[in-house]
Amino acid sequence: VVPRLLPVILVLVVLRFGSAMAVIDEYLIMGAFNRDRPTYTWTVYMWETAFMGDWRQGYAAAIGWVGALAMLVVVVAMFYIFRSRD
Amino acid sequence: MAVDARLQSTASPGGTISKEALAQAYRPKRKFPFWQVVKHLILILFCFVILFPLAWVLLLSVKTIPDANMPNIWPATFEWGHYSYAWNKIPTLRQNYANSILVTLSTVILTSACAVLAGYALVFLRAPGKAIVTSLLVASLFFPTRVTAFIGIWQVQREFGLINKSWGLIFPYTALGIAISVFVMRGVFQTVPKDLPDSAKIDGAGSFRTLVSILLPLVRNGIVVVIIINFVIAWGEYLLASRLMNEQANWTMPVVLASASGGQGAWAMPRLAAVYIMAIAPGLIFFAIAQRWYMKGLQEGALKA
Repeated sequence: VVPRLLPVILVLVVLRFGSAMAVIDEYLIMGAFNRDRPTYTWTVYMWETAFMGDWRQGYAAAIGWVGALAMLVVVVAMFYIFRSRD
Repeated sequence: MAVDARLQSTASPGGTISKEALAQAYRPKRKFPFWQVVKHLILILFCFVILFPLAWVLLLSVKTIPDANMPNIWPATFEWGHYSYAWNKIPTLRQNYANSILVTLSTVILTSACAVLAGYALVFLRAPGKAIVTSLLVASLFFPTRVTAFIGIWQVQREFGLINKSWGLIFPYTALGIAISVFVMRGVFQTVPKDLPDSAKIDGAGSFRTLVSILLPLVRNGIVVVIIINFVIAWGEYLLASRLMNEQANWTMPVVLASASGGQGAWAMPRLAAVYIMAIAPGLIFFAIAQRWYMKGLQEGALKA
């Protein structure tokens, strides 16, 4: 059964991966902005660069794109892993 | 009677009843339906996982403050004063509530209207670049648009002078919800047979008339699905609301909720819980009203690709 379900699993995994990698709300609410804490993810880093300190928004936008492209690479890999094997 | 029904359902298309079906129908039923029990236990477990935190917060909001630090879940005495305390103690709460309702309602209406029109055009009208638009929408679902576009949204809002205007949130929220909404509406419109709009056309209806009088009644449940999706997105959005609104009077409810714990000094847990219940109550009520059509819409295939 599992090979038949691969396309569905692919969609679920990719959607879940996308939302999990881009989590930021929860970290902003519950104690972020401390580099020693495990809540300091790349999204929080982007936020801090863009809206705190020197407000380096161009740099932060670049961080956002690098993160998004990195995620895209993983998504492409997932499309390969979950390709239909008929 | 039950055996007859089972025979009916397993009968082959020709009307004859195969030997296997007979054997299956008359097989003695097991006394203890083990897998049924396991299935129900799993379902109950997941319901519990969802409902327990909600019930806990609800009960916490009616505890007395010293009682809130006790490990018991059921309150020793019921104390309803936290609601009025929170309502009176946060001076802008009324305004925040109004902001949330205004932003959410406008977002829902705007997005649903756009999604219905776009879904209709993508399925039934001869629009140029249909395939490109559809694939872009699907691609944006797989992409962390919200985070990547965030700084861009902030700068655009600043250029338009929409920072600190709570109605300015309507536009980014609409943009956030539109991809999934159009995708859902497209799926719903695809379940409608193509002959229906064609025959309406033969009878002389324009494309707008076809949409309003023929298709809208058919896709009603799908529209409810879109409305609920957008309600959830707009009512619970924190990131944009907290960054684009600087003054407390312009906040929406999630921001109030998040800042009540940190910003205004430490609040006692029951009071926080009261604010929380007030923040989620409209969503619960709304979904309780709309869930009948929502389930129908899901069954009709609103979320199929």
